[in-house]
This record gives sequence, C-alpha cells and structure tokens, in this order.
Amino acid sequence: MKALSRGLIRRSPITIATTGMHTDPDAPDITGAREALLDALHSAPAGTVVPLVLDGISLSASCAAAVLMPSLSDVVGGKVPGRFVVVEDPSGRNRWDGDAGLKKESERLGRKLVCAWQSKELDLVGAVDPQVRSTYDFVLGRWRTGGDGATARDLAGHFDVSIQAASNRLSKASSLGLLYEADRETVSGGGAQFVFVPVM
Amino acid sequence: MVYRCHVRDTLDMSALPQLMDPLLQLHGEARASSEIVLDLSGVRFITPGGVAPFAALIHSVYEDLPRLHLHAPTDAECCRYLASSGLLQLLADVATIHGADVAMGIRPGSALNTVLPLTRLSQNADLEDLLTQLELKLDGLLGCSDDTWTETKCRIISAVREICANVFQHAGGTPGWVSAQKYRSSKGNPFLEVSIADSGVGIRRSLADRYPEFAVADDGDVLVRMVNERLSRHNPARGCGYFTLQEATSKLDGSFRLRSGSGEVSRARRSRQLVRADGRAAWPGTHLEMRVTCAPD
Repeated sequence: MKALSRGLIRRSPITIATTGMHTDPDAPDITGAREALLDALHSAPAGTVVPLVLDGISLSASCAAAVLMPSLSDVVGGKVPGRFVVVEDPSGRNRWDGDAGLKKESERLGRKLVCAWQSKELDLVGAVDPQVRSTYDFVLGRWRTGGDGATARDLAGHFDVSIQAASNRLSKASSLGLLYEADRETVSGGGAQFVFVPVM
Repeated sequence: MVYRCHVRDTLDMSALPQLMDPLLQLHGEARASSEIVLDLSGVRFITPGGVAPFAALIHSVYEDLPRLHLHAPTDAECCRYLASSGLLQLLADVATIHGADVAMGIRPGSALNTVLPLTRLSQNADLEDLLTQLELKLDGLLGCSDDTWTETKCRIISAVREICANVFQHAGGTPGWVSAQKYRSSKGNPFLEVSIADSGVGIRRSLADRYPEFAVADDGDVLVRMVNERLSRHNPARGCGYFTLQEATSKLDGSFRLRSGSGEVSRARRSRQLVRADGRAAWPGTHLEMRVTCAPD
C-alpha cells in the first residue's frame, strides 16, 4: 500500500484475470473480479482506496456494471465507511461503457452509483449530477495545486453559497464515495469543520 | 407455384416484408416445392437495414429453401453496393442470380463507405474481430489516432458490442448478422447506419424464460416494456443492451428501429418518445437498425 493523499492509502489493485474483450457478466473472470473487489473493500481499513485496473481489458457495459455495482452499492449504502473504489482505465476505452452500466444500475436500484475513473484524465463516471461534479472538481483542484484539503468554508467562498449549503454538497459527494473526510479542524470562535480530500 | 416479390426504389428494413413474406409464410413441402423470384431490379438504394435482416431471414429458411431467383438491381451503382455489402455473395450460394455478372467479382467491403460488410456472428471470437474492424474504420472516419477513445467512438462500439452480445444470449444458437455503412445527410453531415439481425426465437420468447406471462403476450407490448424497463432474461442487473443503444442514439443525435416477431418500435432523432408500429407479419428473430451521427468529437 502507498499513501495517496492525506489520510488515504491505496491498496494493491484488483485486476481481471484474462485480458481482451468481456461481454458475459456471469463469466468467471467477471464474477471473480466482482468478488475480489468486494472482499478487498470489506477487509480494508478505513481510509483505503481499492483500485480496479483495466489495462488491456475491454468491458461491455453489462460487465462493467456487474463488477462495480455491488462494491459501489456498499459504498453508497454506508456499509464500508471510509473505503472507496476507483477505476484505472489507461486507454479510456471502457469509460463510456462504465458510464452507461452505472447509470443503468443507478436507475434500477434508485440510488446513484458514481466512480472516479482515471484514464488519460481523471473523471467521474456514472449517475453524477453537475453539482456533485463541480464539488469534486473544486476539491480535486485544491488538492492538485497545493496539496490542500477543502472545507465547507472554502467551498462556500468559491461558489458563493452559505456554509450550510457547502457542507451539504461536501456531505453528498462524500456519501457517493468521491470525497473522504480526512481531517477535522477547529475553527476560531469555536466548533470544528471537516477537511475533505478527493478520492482518486 | 411461382411467387414474384419485388421492391422498388429502396431496400431497407421496412421494404423487406413485401419481399420476404411469401418466403416466410410458406412452410414445409409448400415452400420446398415453390419457386420464388426476388426482384430487386427496380432498387436504387440499399441500406444496412435491408442487408443484415435479409441475410438472417434467408438463414431462417435455409433448411427447406425453395428454388430461389434473384434479379439484381439494374442500377449499376446499386448493384455494386449489393456486392460490396456482401449480400450478393451470400445469396449466390442459395439462389440463381440474374443481371449481376459484373458485380459478382466485387469484393465485400471494397466500397469506400462500407464500414462493415455483411458479417456473420457465430461465436465470441467473431464479435472480437468485428469490433476490431469497426474500431479501425471509426478511427479513419473520425480522424482518431490508434487507441484514442473518443466519446463518439466509444458510444458506437459500446452499443454494437452490447446488442451483438445479446444475439448470443437470445438467438437460441442461430447466428447474427451485422452490416454498417457511412452516409452523408442532405445537409452534408456524416452519419453511420448499423444493422444487426438474427433469426432466433425473438425477444418475447427469449424473455418468457424469466417472465412467463410473456409466453402469450403481444410482441409489441413486450418490446415496449423491454426497452422502457430494461428487462433482461437473466437477472435484473443485466439488460444494458438497449440502455447503451439509447445512450448512443441520444448522445449522438441518432435514431433506432427494432423489430422482433410481429412487434416493432422506433425512436426518431431528437425524440424521447418510443413509437410503436402494430400489424406487422410475424417474423423469426430480431432486427435492429441504428443511425448515429459520426463526426469527430
């Protein structure tokens, strides 16, 4: 494991056993990856990112959904607090299949499934709305430029919204598994605020 | 008994009933003892939607084919396309061809705008080959360098892959057929038409494995439910095929038409409404026609 960002460590990646194209969601390679991802997520300590690496892999939307859905459901359902999934897809060829598969599953389950997706650029894939995307981009930008986390106060200043609204936005992105509450800072005048870092 | 069936002007998915119904409505001895003349001499335009389902329908009656004659289009360019699409060569194995001596020498896929000549899908390896071929063609059409995965390229490949994978799952062991062609609209915008067809049990009967009430349902009702509710014969977590199709056609300013059994549904460009067409003759298998804008992102 290696440190990713403040408070987040990266577990060794999950891969799909056979390279090439996969179209059957019930094939052993796909069910094996799904179980491995789920096991890794549940056995990891809080503050862990579990990467699924798709190097040399071409997944259909059904297969992408089959691998990711159970783990992302557990993330969104609060069953694995502080543990996250990211996908590394070096060529980017699976990005739109992942997007379609997660959107379709989000519709079916009635809960939004979203995932940070690293190809040539880092993006969010699945049922992501513009507000969540802009919140994530803001936190990611701060992290990349200065290595800083973001608080509700930072977000409120940037988007010109109330601290309560900014706090809600951060909580929402966090509950989707896109941000991690890495730290807690005391605020002058009393109280505390969480510091969020991007899941990447 | 001799049956003459003809199509004039355009051979596409909607023209196939007038051409193929006599062939499909005859059965057993009556079919085998008949002579059927498929007259395409008046055809001036052929689309992939006329090619892949044509191949699937011919395949569905392969066991007891009647004596079959095909009159090729008299329009030379159209006749060359019939050959370049690969359909002429397939038909030459089962029918006596008239009026296509020159075109018979044309290699399938050789026409400039043919993206995929008629391709048979029998196993997963066929699909891998087909997608590799499609990737290469799209790289050329979209001006992508190798291994660049733009949204347009990914959406098209994603939809074709999901729908073709469904062929293996729903067609009951019969092969699938794929054909694709690039066109330009009257305004000069490039678009791609892809047709995927099989002669299997059809969507209603395939889904009846999981939804027993579909065994006696109307084909059109089932198609509407399948598209709108993303039904799958396996488990609810699947059924991505028509979701990726809808994503591709909505993001790429496209349309689709789906026919299975006696049911047909379609969605026009820039429309969210699924339109149902009733009263079609019952056909074997499932036929899909997808059109999408095919321009660089």
